[in-house]
Amino acid sequence: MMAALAPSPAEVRALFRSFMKAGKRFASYNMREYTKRRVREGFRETQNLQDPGARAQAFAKGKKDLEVVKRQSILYSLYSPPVKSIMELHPSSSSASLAAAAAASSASKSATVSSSS
Amino acid sequence: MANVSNRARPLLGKFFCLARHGLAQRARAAAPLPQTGKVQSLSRTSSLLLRPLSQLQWKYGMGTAAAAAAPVAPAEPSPAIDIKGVNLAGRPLYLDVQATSPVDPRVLDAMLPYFVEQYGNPHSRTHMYGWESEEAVEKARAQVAHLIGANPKEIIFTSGATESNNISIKGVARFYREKKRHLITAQTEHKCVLDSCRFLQQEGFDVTYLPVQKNGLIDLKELEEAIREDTALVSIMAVNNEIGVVQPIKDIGEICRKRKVFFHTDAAQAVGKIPINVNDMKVDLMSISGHKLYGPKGVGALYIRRRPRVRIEAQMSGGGQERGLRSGTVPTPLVVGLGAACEISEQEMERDTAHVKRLQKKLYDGLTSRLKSVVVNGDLEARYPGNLNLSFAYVEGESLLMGLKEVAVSSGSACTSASLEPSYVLRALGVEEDMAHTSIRFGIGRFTAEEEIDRAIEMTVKQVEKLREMSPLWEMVQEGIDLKSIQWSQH
Repeated sequence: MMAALAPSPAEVRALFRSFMKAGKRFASYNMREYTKRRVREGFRETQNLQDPGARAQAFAKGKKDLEVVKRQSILYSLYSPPVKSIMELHPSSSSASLAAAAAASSASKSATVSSSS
Repeated sequence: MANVSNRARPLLGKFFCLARHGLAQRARAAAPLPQTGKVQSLSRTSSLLLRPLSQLQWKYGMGTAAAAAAPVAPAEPSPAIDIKGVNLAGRPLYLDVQATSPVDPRVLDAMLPYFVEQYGNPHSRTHMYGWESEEAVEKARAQVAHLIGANPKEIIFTSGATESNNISIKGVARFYREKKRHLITAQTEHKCVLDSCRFLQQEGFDVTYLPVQKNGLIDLKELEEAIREDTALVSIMAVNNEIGVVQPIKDIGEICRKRKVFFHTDAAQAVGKIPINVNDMKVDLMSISGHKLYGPKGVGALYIRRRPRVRIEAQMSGGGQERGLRSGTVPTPLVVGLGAACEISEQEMERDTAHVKRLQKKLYDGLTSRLKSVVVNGDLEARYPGNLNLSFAYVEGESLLMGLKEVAVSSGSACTSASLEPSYVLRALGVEEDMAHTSIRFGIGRFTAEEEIDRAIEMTVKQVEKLREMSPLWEMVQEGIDLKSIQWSQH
């Protein structure tokens, strides 16, 4: 139980920063957003813990979870689909301009089809 | 007009464009207008080809139409995805978590070791590979049991909730067939429950399909009256997959225990999302699905009560795994994933619920404040907040779904999403045909971001307004005509 020393505020801040940095590396939009939200929630929940044992426990769990985030963000980047989520694309690429692009492409497609026939 | 699909629309536009183009050329040929630059060269090409009824004109006409349409979207990159004839700029935002949920990274992290080095068969008793797999499976069993307040010995692993439902319904009915010949279920159950019951009917069993009230909940009095001397099992789902209503499981459990009838609940959509305790709720059998609670697909669990003991006839014959109730090698990585998903869901339930509730309110308020005639299907109170099933009046559902290609939603259950028939669940609620046709199920989960909800509201409002603008029905309603008073001519 010697290892269960309560973390210093500096250590907690460092852990938070590492989490945020690791979370940003997720290739998936949803996982990135979730990590951000969940890490903030987790630190907010534990910031008022008084008992050193509970603080140490929360800190240890955080460190373990950080490793999961690090591993999984690498894994996600290895298998990320070639196309991003529409949430990451420029907001101007809304359905209106997309419809125009789709129309143009379907027109050129039918043109090639008809000229080859 | 409203049922012209979006896919066909750009093409239709092209035809109109072509027709107009042809007309202009003909006019020009009749009375030549002053022409300059590009227009001149264009008309020269086409005047060369102005041979009525020649195929050439058709061919080149298409070409010029495409050339003319190209400058409309100048710097627009070509759509990145072309799948099933639909062009998308990016992956759609996902609001269909009732169909399936993404795997939680923590779940995948727990599973991966059993996909690589720890590949032992959990039933191998002679070496370490087997032992470590068995240990992992038993840990997962305990995790699943803990989430629902059961004993690990009461959990068996299956391939999913469909299998669990089949084992429960057919297994119980067949085991007690000598004395009990009757089953009770509800009209809004999942297809696999209804189909298992149909199957048993062919074997000579009697089945009562309880109707539901307008809000999707069953009437407890009706249930009590339906129970007979020879009733073997009552099967009512906890959270409905299409409309998200939460049935009064605890009350049903009390009634069944009092009348000494086994109670099975399909809790695929409920476990890990709302608090479930098999002892409080007096549930005798319960189906659990892995991929509905951020776990892997292809794995599920079945809770079978030991005291008072529920006995079932196994469906699968084989090596006698899972106490002989479900033969077949237990898939260690999947089962580990299910266990991890259960444990994480237990830890995250409070946070998830708060998040999902907030987003559901945002989505509901955002849509209803900007659109008129939007109706929630199913009870708004007795509902799992992650499911918002809405009907948009005077909009054709399929057109709306086609228009909302950048939002992954469905009109109901994924199993029946291939058919154009309105959902049988909505019809059981007494939702009118036209409203049942316009339903959309928005699913919100742990990994739904707030911005996604904003974007979904934006796109849905735009699409609904667009479709309503085209709808003659909507126009008539705006003019104050009661649609029900219209005598449509018969063809």
